[in-house]
Amino acid sequence: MKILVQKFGGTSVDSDEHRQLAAAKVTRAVQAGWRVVIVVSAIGRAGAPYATDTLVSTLKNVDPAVPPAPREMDLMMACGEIISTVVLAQTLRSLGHDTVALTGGQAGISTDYEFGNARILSINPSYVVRMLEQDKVVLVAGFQGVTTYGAITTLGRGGSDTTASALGAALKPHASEVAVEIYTDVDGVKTADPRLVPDARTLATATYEEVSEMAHQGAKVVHPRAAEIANQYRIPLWVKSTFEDKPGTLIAAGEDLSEAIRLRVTGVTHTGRIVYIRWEVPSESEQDRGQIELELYRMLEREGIPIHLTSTGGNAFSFAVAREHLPRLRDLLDGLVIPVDLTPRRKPPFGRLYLLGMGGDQMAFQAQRALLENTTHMVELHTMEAEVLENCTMVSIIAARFKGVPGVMAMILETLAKAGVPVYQTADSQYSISVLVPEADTQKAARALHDVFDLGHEAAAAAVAEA
Amino acid sequence: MAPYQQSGIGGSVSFERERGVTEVQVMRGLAHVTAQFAPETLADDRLALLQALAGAGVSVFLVKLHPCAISFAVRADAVDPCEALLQKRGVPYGLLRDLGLVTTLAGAMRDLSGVMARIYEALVSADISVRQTGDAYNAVLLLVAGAQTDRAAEALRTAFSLTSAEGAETGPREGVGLEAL
Repeated sequence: MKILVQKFGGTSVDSDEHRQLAAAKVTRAVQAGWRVVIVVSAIGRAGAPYATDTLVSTLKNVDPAVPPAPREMDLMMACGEIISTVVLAQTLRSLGHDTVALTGGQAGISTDYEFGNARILSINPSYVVRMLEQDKVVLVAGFQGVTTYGAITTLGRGGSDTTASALGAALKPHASEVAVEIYTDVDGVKTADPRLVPDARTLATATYEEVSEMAHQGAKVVHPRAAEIANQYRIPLWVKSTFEDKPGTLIAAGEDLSEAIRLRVTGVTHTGRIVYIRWEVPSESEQDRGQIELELYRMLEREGIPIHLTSTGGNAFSFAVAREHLPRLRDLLDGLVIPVDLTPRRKPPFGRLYLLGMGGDQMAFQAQRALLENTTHMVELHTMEAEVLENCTMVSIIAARFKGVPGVMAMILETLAKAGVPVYQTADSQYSISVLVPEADTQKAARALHDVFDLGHEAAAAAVAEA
Repeated sequence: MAPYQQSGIGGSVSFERERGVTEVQVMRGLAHVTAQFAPETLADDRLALLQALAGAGVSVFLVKLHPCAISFAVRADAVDPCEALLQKRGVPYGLLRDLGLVTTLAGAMRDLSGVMARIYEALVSADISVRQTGDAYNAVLLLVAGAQTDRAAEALRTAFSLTSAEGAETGPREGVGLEAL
């Protein structure tokens, strides 16, 4: 049998009208001879009665001083998907489909015990297969699974995409053909955010790696976990609009697509609300710099603050954090004293103290300095005031193959210079080049890069990459 | 360790990557260049240098911008043309040869806190200095002295409880997170 997994996002099931449109997609697939498995997200977005955020608030508001237990929080959050699954099942039943609605656990999805961000360990699809063999349309609540001991877990960000992709992989051995369709409110994967770049184009095809990179660099497309699973099991993944009858984007393996696609520049993405912090160590000692970095990174680890865009070398180092972490970071680092090489010796200095400032009013920094100035007969006192760039965005060019193509970074910097966009830092990886720019220049940067790589025209984008 | 396993048709299927760091890779024969510029002409000068390098067919990576400089890495076969170009243009520069790139791979680095702390703990304990760092969503890249490359990789494998089999040696033209620009 041919099995099609269709995943409908929250906006696809948030009204009777939208559910009818979703149901029409199901009916068409059934008429085309597919056995259909539907994965459903919670109804609507923040503010809607059964949206995940609303359910979370309901629980937290019981007593804001007492945080809910992670296990109970997952139980609550899973309700949103269960409700939408049953409602869509009933919609389909009213249209004459024979349906069965299942929780993630009932569909055989087993996870580990990390509540709120569980990982799928295994799927036993035998019940789903049996229902499909009985010509039922099977609806599965997305974003959830169950532990060995029966506790309901949720899969974290992109959970319903992950459920759809994983079910496709689990059902593949039972099907002559399997495909996964992700239905959303846009008509496919775009070359840029159309709110910023009006001539952004919908890609006809993309590789798993391109889509995964785009998602990691800020594009709101298929979640990378879903793309990764589809890639591993070679499941064709489609991104389509619930509200339009357009072909959408086919995501497949690079070797299954044309050479031009494998070589092209795919798109421009952006991820905002970044703070970039640079420190200069007032000492030529690389050992001191390493010690200071270590102490800072340990502190960030304890606080659960992830960093990226790291750079080090000579007597300086820098990194970026999400802006939401800046107040905590200021609390932690302003006035922090890092001792280096503090050991008993016959005569002073007995080591070095590095006092950190974080910009702003630096109250802790000033207070500490006043105190520590009394110790300079015993230790060397160095001050390090951070350069803090608060309102930054990372704009990225996604390109599958830059190997052996000198000049891409020059082209990006030249383009941004002509557009009057300052670049604070760059980062390059296997599939992308990123530049850190002022948040206010996000649109200017995205448009300029979209234009220079001619991403509005499919053939041209590939030609630019090859040139 | 394979990130995915399938137990066979009809049985249960395992899907997702392990959390955390999964692999440490090594690449040798690299050089690191830092070119200095006057602050008032910095943006123009570093762009002109990148364009000249591109014109000379020199691929660069791990490009980093500094207040008065630009730094980047090149492969061994590009060191001489790169140095000749810098000298021809009269750009003050520093050049470190014979470096190794040690790459720590994780599924979703940006969602993890503490990877950098553990990397630095391992390297500081092993008395290894880092010449440059870079990162992608799935990797942290560290440029270290060639003679320290193996020790750095081993220290990281130990820190993340990986076996040597999970740290592949990559040739000068391979390597995750490393593409010439």
